Amino acid sequence: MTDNSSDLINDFVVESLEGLAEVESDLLAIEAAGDDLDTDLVNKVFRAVHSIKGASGFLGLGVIGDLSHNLENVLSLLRNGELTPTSDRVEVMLAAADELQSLIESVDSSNEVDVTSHTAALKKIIDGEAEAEPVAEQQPNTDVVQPPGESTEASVETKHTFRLTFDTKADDEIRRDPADFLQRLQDMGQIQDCSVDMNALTEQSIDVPDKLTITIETILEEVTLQTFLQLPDDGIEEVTTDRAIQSDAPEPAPVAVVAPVMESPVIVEPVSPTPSSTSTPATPSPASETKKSARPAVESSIRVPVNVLNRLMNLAGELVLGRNQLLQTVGTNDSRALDSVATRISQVTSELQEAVMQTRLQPIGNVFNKFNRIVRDLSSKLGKQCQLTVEGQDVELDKTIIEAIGDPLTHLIRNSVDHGIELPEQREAAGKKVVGSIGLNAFHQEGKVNIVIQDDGKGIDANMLRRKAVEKGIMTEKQAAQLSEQEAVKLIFHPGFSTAEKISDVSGRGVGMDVVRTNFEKLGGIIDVDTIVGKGTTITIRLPLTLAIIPSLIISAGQNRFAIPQDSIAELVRVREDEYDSRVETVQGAELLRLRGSLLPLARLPKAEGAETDESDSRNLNVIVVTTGTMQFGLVVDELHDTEEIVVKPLGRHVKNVRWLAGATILGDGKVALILDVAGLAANQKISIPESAAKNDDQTATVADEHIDVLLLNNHPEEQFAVPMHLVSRIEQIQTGQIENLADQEVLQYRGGTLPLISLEKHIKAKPRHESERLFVVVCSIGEKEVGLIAPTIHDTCKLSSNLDMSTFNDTGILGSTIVGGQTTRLLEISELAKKAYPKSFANSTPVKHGENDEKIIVLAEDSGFFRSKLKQFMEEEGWTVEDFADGQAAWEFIQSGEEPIDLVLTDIEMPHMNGFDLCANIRSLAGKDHLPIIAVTSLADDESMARSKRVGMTRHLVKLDREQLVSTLSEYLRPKGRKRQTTGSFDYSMQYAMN
Amino acid sequence: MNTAMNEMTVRTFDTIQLTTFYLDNMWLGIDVCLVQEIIRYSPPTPLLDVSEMVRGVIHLRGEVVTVVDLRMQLCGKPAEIQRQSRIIVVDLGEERIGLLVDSVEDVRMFSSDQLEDVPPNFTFTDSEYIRNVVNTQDALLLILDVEVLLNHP
Repeated sequence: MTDNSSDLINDFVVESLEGLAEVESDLLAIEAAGDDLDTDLVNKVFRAVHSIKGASGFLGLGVIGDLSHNLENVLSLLRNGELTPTSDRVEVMLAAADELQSLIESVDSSNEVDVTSHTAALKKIIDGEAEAEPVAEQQPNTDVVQPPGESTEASVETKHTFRLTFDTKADDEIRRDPADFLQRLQDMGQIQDCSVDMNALTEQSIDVPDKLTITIETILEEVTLQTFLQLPDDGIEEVTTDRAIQSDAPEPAPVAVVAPVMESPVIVEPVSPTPSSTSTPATPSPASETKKSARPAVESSIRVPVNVLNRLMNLAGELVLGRNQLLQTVGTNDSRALDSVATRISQVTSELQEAVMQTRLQPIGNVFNKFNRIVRDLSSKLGKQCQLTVEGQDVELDKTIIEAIGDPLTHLIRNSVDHGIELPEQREAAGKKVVGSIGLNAFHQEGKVNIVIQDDGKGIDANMLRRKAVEKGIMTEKQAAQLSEQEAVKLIFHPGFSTAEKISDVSGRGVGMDVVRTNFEKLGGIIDVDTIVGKGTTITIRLPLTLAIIPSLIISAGQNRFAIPQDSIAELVRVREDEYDSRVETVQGAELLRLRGSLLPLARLPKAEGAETDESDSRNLNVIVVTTGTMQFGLVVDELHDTEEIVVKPLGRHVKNVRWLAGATILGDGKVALILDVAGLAANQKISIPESAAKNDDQTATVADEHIDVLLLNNHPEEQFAVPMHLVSRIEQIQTGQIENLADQEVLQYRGGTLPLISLEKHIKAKPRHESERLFVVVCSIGEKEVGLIAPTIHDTCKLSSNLDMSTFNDTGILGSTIVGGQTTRLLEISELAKKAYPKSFANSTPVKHGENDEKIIVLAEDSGFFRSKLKQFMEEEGWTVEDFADGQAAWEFIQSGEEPIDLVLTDIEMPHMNGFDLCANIRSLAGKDHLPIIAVTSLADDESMARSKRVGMTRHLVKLDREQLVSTLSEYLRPKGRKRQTTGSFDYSMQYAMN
Repeated sequence: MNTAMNEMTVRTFDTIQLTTFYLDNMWLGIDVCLVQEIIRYSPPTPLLDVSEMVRGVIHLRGEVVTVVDLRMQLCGKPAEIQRQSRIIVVDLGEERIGLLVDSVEDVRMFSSDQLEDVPPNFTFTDSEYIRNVVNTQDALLLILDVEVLLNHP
């Protein structure tokens, strides 16, 4: 036994912990069920505890045995209906189960731990029911004696009867101390028969025979028993019931028998030959000596479904076949055959990779399960009432990720209970349900796993965060005031920022949200927070499925090749040598790249010593715009290679402290490439401009200034124009000769129809177009019609600040002007141009004639002066009355005052003081205004803001500067009731973006 | 403390086998049990921002192995790559590290009573890296304590 004792203990630890893992949630479920007892569940817990008890006795783990024994007794009473699972009792049991778990985790020292407080508490429960269950009272409290009640307990288990044959010559342990041996057997099950007199054997009054045959009834599996006893295969034999020695006092099973087939009738040892009186408490000592021998740390193991294993085996077989084929083909020099072999091997490899990945995937439920307990304990401690709803437990993630997300998730859940959910009286006062709800949900999206933690608590007060940030010196008052609500809420992730108003022992223990964020980021994840004051907080975490294989871009810098994970790459930018001076600013050696109006810090990889940088090379830049989640910067590299799926290999101890390396990988040619850690690189290069500040570079001018995506083009080489991107549906290249002149109008045969064309110089003050053989036609949609804008050269798309000059070029068809790349650029208003060029076909492109429009009042909230005046103009031209405000707050005050009846609210999203989302949420909470159409006009047309719009109750979500769409949408909601479409209150997704 | 423990393990065996190699005219040996394999020098991928005794990393059958320039560490000058240059890959359990040496000589067996303590006047380098010395007829063999050596990056 000594040789294998450490293996045995390892097995014991692994199995016991597996068993215990579910005990907690089961106990909680038992508690929740109350009197309506789920016997199966109790049995499940019972089985787990019982196996621990049995095995621990055998392994000489007295303290574990003692504790599990007492726990088992309580469970037994529970199962027989003699106890009800009150919250107090479950509390004691949970504590005992916890203690049991920690004992098993440090199994070596478990015998020195004092568990009397737990056993006493358990015994108190048993004693409290002493009259109801006299058997329990009689039970001696050591685990070494087979209690008479045991057979009752075990009777619901699937029991097996085994005949064991021991060769005592080989196993001199039996010979040395037969009493101890028999005792251990009895801890595992019920000895029913023995080839010699057991009493005599115990008292050592007879010699131990060479062969000892014992029949034992046990709940243990054959394999387990065999391992514990180290029996040879022929030393253990399962006997059917009729061959087992029947006793004369079958006890009726008190509860439903779990597995009635295969079951021996319940057997009770009537006149027990059990040497209970003679066995001494000292018996565990020999075993405990053996287990003190140095035991390696328990290897973590993983369970793999057999079908996955079979698939792996198949794929491995295919791989071998592929190799054989490869070796054969390589000899023949047949390149086509080689191709097919390569394809085959590549296919098999991908499948193999996927299958192996699958073995590492574990359900996220493993982590989620423990949160029920945490929420329960914490809320009762804080005097709160919380209900945790868990969804998506089946979502699977890589084992390493599962292991790493436990702690940060726990922190978030604790936060939700501690800071999110209010005290019951506060909730009642706020008109909420007394029981706070916390939702924990996991789901797949876009190849990533999302985890959402949502509570309906008090939310996060952005103003409080702003104040705190100023107090803590993180930013100045001015900076803080400039933050949008969204950005302010994100301050909780800032290092050194504890949100707890006062530090409780629950959270605010130094582990801030920044640590949580870092933890998730280390896993390649992203965390985001979204909150509505008074309504609740939603935290979203996006995690990759696995860390082992990551798609990356391979680049080279100097002599070295590096891999940059695709996730951290935002875009690639090339700066030609002649553009260097205009696009790159150098301030005290630090390079900054102008990128669509904002300045991006540039970093170069540390060069190997002696590597000379060529002057022209250093001005010809390949820039990879990388993002770390908190900041963006440009990485200058020499060459871009391929994208590859790389396998991450750890780096050794000498390289551990190089923070900008995340590991290494082996490329197709067998060489090593280093994987860059973008965040570490930023720290290495001392780049620390937070994303918000970088954005502020162009946002500070006007608060929450916005961008218009435009297409830059030239008519005459000296004049630059811009067209809003969302109006552009296609760009076609044509020969000049294709343009037809019909009745003084230029048209193009296009897709079986005629596309009206616009030459800029004919309609606005512009120099004539630069003639060339080839021309571009920018096809724009206006309502349902299309018009083509002739442009000899097209440059680029860029983001234009909405801070436009609207006076200099005051002309029909010109929205305003600004400077792009040193050139004055006029932003075109295509719909006006079209009307001017084709008055007949486009003038009535606004079909709605608003007879009763004069009574309609629209509230417009928009911070950008340009957009505000344009939108106002659009609407006033339709005959509507517009009340315009520079931010959400002012609009909200007007709406609240109720001075005038309002028919519709048109709001921007990004605004100072109160953003569009908050404005909408506020209006929706206002009595009588909950059905007011609220339309968002925004340049944010991404899915996220769409989803958020929907959440806060926006009626529609429109893209700015699309006049046709705006007018038609507005008139839809402003038409008399009877003709109104039934979309109010529900979000209309059917809208189309011209860009899509 | 580590040295003391290693000493004990050495002493309890009757014989010890050493992989012996040359480094800047020094004759050195390491316990053969630690050596996984010896490979020819191939230029490693250099790392930046690391101590200059780290030569870089190489690919060894699916693993990335750090190559330590032993001459840099022990003698303070970089190795000159020659035809005989070898990388001794030592297995430290949790990772493998390659030791770049001038040339590998042999595997030699010594009885444990041949091992002597490090002479106190050894000042040519941090003598803590040297566990024992063996005085053979023609030369002095220095036995390296690899764990200590590689724990001082």
